Amino acid sequence: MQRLNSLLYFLAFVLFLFAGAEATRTKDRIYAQIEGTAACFRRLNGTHQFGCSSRRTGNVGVLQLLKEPADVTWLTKEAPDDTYMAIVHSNMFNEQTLRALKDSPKVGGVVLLRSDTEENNLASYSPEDSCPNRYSGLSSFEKQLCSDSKPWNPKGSSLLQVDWGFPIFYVHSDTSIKNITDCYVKHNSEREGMTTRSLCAMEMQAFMIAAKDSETCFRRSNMINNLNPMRFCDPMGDRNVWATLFARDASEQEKSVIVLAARLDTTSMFEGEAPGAVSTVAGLVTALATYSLLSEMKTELSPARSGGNVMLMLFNGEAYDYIGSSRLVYDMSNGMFPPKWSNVPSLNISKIRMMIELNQLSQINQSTGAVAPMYLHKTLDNPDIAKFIQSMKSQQADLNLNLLDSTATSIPPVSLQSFVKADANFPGVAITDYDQSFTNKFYHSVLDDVKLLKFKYSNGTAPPSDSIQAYLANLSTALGRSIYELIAQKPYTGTTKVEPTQMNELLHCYLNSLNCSLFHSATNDDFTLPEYPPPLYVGVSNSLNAVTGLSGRLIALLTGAETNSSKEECKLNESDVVRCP
Amino acid sequence: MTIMEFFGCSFLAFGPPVAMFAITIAKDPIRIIIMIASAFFWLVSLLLSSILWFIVIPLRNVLIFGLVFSVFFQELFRFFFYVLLRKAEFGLRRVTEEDTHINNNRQVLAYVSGLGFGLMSGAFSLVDVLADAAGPGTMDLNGGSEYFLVISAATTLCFILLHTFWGVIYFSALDRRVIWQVVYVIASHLLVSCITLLNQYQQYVLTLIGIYLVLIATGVITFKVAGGTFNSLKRGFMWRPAASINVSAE
Repeated sequence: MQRLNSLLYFLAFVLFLFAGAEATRTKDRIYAQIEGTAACFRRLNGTHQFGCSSRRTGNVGVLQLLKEPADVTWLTKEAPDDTYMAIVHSNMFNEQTLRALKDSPKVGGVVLLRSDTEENNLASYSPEDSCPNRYSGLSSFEKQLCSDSKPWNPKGSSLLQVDWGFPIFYVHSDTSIKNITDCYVKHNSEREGMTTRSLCAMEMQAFMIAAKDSETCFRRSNMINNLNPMRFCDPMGDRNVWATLFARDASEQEKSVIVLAARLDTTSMFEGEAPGAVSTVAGLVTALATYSLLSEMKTELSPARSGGNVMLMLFNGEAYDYIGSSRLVYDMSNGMFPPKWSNVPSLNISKIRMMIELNQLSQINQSTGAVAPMYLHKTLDNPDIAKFIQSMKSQQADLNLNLLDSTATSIPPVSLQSFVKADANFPGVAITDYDQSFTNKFYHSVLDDVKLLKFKYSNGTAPPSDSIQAYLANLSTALGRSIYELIAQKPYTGTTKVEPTQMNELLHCYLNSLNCSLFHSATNDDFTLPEYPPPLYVGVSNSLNAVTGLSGRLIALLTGAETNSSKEECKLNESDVVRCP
Repeated sequence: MTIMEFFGCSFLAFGPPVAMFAITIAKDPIRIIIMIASAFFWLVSLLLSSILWFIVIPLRNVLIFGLVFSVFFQELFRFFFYVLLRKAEFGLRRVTEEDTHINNNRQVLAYVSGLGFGLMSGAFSLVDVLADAAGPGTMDLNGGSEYFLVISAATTLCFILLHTFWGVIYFSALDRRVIWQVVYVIASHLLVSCITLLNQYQQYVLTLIGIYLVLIATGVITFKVAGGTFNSLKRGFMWRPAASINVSAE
């Protein structure tokens, strides 16, 4: 956990425009606040700083709308004023524009306008590195697994690794977008006489107090020179969420475990705007649904359980050098997982019989009339893996799946890398929608959202058979049955399966609104759930992301059993959550 | 740009009054005291106007109601200040040092108290506007007038000068029991205040022309009341030895 996140201090965002004749203060006739924005913020690693910051007092500049490449040229070459705020339409928001703006001394800030209609015009936009997590996992600074000539993320522009000299804001509110464009059209669109008349300008404040690198920032934070020490930065991090199908009591000590894993976090350039639909949510909900299916099969499974236990593992912070999985591996190798105080027998990495990881899943690669392919990346060949793959493939005709063996020569940038790094013979399979490079052209961006996944919430009705809900539900069913076969060591003969409607609800919670029926059932009534989709950026370790706790409760809801114990009996720790019907 | 606008507007509104203060008032402590006292009386009148506006809830949004009563309160407190000055006159004469050349006659005191009224009202009407003007943005990019700040400053200057003139006319009219001049002061105060209501409809030019016409008329009357003639005006612009610079009339 070398990287740090700066504290976001100011997100206020002011546009100077007239607010109507009824204004009571002179100020209101000069300035208007822009609502519905998200700021790009600063992050640090051991050697560098990345991201954006404004000056302490904010950056002010004249609005300039960039609709076509000619506008960028005009702004950087001919524009008469000293400082401009570049308002970039989403169809222009790409590496080329941003790098041109960064190099121009005239640009004091950048605003990205979200547009629902023009989004499809953008062919690709991924601010992530072309080799995600280039220096961690199985790779290192000296030994690179991923090469720039054949990268995993070919559309990656590494914009997340750039230290912008100015603030960048993302505006998603329609009224704010309208205010900004109206003000621009009214005052600034005419290029004649710009130097002699009043122009529409904007002030951006997103000052970050963290600077230089992690070491410097920590040293500054730990310097006690007055009674009120200042924190300049916090380490990034959150919690992993895990659960086991059968309680791990002392008798489980020697039994092996099949780990069903997915990641819980994603990232983007903007605070609070990290939807990660394809990169994270699709795999996450598939893992949850699979685990929930296994718990339904639990009664059939338990008598014949010779093959061990099943563990659901949701990793947090994987976008930043595998924070979650590398910590888990570290704890496992030190006999600290699960933690000693929990009185659960510790789990060693050698006891993991196999890890099945669900990474990016989507129907992006679908050709008309066919089923979108899924690729199985295995770390090595062993009987368990062969059996699992054979079992999965035997179901694909029934469940309308299209499973292919990956032709990639190395392990993709997934959490499995942390395990293989610790144990070269670690058995694992990653299921993804890509073969040798990502099909997701918006990886780790604000546009990796519900529209990219093509998810349409069908309220009350069954989702169509070619929908993403049905697709992921079928995958869950296949996974659940294959894992059953591995554990029970006999073919599954029942009919239990994951319904597309369940997948529909799960996706709705993670992609549309936290205030959904599943999270509602999983929380106490005094828990207020906001109406927006959860941002899946990992955040800083001392403030947990809401979705981490909610996912834990959701697992309890989907797989937990009701007991007759009283509230007091159940509540062993202060932090335990006990839900009363 | 906005800094220039801020200073331009400040100097437009407060430049002439501050010059008047520096040349005619600053050298005499008694005049300063009287000016501050009259400014305080104006503040009390504003306080009462505000209380009335606050109490009468249904008329809070009716500008003209507060405005008319504010004019009456101001004129009432001008009268109170007149009464106070007359009562204090004897004492003031005693504390004035005998050897100064300054002649604090009644008209000078009227002028000083008028300027005190004007400066305080000017400060109250413009300072919040100026405070907002200093920021990075300027006024009314959308629709309204970009001259709002300049117009506010010019209006403020007009009111400061008007208050000075009204002070002179009012006090001398009360001394000489000339009722029409008292009525003129109250009526013209009401008139200019009501003219400014046109600003709601962005009729800034009309407002400015109207109030400056009243200012000129009031100025002429003040000049007459103070005993000025065309010849004295002419003499005033001619060079004289410094020793004889007195504000002398009567």
